[in-house]
Amino acid sequence: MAMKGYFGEFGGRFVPETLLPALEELEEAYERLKNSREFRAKLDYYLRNYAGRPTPLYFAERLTRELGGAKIYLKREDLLHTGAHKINNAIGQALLAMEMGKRRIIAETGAGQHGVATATVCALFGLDCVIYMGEEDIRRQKLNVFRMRLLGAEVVPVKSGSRTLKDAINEALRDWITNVDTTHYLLGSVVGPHPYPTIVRDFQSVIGEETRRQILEIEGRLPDYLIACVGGGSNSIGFFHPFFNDKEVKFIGVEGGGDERGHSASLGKGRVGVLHGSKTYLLQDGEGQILTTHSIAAGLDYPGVGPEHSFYKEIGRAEYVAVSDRQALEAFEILSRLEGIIPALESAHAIAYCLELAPKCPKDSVIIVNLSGRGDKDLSEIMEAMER
Amino acid sequence: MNRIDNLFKDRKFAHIFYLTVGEFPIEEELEIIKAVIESGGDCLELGIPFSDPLADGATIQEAMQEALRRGTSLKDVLKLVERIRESSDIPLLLMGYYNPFYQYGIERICRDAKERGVDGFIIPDLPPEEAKELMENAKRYDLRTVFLLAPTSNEERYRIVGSATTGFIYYVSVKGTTGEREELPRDIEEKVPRIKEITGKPVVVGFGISKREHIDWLRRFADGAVTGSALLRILKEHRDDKERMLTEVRKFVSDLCKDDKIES
Repeated sequence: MAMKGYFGEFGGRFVPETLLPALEELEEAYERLKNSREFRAKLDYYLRNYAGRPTPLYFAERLTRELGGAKIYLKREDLLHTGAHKINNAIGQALLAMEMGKRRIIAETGAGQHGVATATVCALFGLDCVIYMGEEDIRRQKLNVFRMRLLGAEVVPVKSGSRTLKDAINEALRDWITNVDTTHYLLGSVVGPHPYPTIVRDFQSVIGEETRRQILEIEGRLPDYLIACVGGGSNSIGFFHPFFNDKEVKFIGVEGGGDERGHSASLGKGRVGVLHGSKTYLLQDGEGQILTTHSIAAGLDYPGVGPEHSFYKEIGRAEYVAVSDRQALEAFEILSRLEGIIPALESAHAIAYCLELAPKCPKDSVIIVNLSGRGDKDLSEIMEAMER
Repeated sequence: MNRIDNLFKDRKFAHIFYLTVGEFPIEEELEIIKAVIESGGDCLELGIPFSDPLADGATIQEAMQEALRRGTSLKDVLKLVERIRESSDIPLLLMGYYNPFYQYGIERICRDAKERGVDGFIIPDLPPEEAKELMENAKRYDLRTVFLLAPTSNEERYRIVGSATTGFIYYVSVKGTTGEREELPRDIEEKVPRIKEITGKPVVVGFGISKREHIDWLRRFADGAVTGSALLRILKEHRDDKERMLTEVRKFVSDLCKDDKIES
């Protein structure tokens, strides 16, 4: 049996029948457009002139000296318009939606970064925009809610379940089931039913493709390690995937280790199950009910993970580790002081693992950390955490 | 033998009722089920609670949250089946999202379900393309696998679903989630006969069905109808007064099911 839409045994299309035709349509449109010169040119135009690509690959000299081991580079996705890598995928999918003649866009958001990116591209292209966001997240991320509304999006509070990201995805899927003829669901991570994990990965692969060119130009060689944080896993897959065949490059995905309240390490501590349309590692109880997660970084606070990551774990292509809320906060401060870069709390998880790894590496080795977003959105949360 | 095979005998219209298991204590649930059966219900769908029911509207979501709060698991559902079987031979289907079944083990759930007296499965987030393991094991244990078609399905889907489904086809009446609706889309009248013609299988209509008028209309071209949210709303409205609740359930179910034989 052909395993369409699978990465090894992971992925698939576990959705209600109502959505299958829309997924087929999306897949067909994407296959047709992805190699079209006109579509690529349009995407490239907006990535360059609107989002601010290519982003720099920056040598973190003081951090490198301080740690005394590997040379550390930062891929500066934090410098993109709207402050994170999410815009790469939002532009790509909005163009795709318009090609399919769909002018109503819905999306889920946790911390609000994907919601802001989606609201931004909808403003840019004049599309209707509805963002589903958990009530709990709305409370925590007031500024991003204001931003989305300012951009003309309707933000719908989700009151069901745990009132966080997973419930926002449920609600967005319910909207999609109801309005599937007119609406494109602009999913923000490499999760969900096929073809989403592939489409989002492809739109995010620009991160790894640029990085590969840049490091070859600067160092004349490939890196020893790529480190990125993993929630749903879109920045990390986009970063890793173009290096997949470079076996000497090691991938490290960093999950949210949380604190005594819980964690969000789906790959590290989860079991294989089915959620939101795909088979993948999940945090769940013995009965298959999905667990509530915790991470100080709202963007990592999700009980599932993209199926391609589950595949990378299974075949040993990537290693997945977890760092705690506290380690992430320390890394957040260190990067701010040593490099003058305030990272997003999500990205601070990747930095935290780099702080552990770099001193153990020889001086001629190279680590690249994907700095997936900037930290402005987190400042009030961090002020609170530092007071505790 | 499988009890679903008799459901459509003599071209009888099947009145199917859905309940989320675990919203009430088991003894109360058995009384509700008894009321449904005695008032004319022909078949029951026992809903397995799940933390993320993405095809369900508010009524069933709330029932599932309550059932989970009370700690309901698949084992409890099987216990309920066993109790129902002490006094009734009504066809029973387990309806739920895939993950709880998957965690229980597909072969194991088929074996245990058959042993307790279940007749089949309806899993709304498991299209035939992903259901190979379930279909093989269900066949082995003589259980039916009911697949769904939707207003968005084309004739190619009719064929795929039609050849995978056993027992009957569940036609989702609306684009949307479960829940009561004032009116049903008119196109059901063309779609259901077309599905029957292409697949040769009985077609039961569900989602939004809550009124006598709906049933009167559907009976003209469909083989049965599923009522869920409307029944759950009655249970919820009268949850503090059990006798009243049972009276209302009897009234509601018998109103939907009455005069069946005269008209068909």
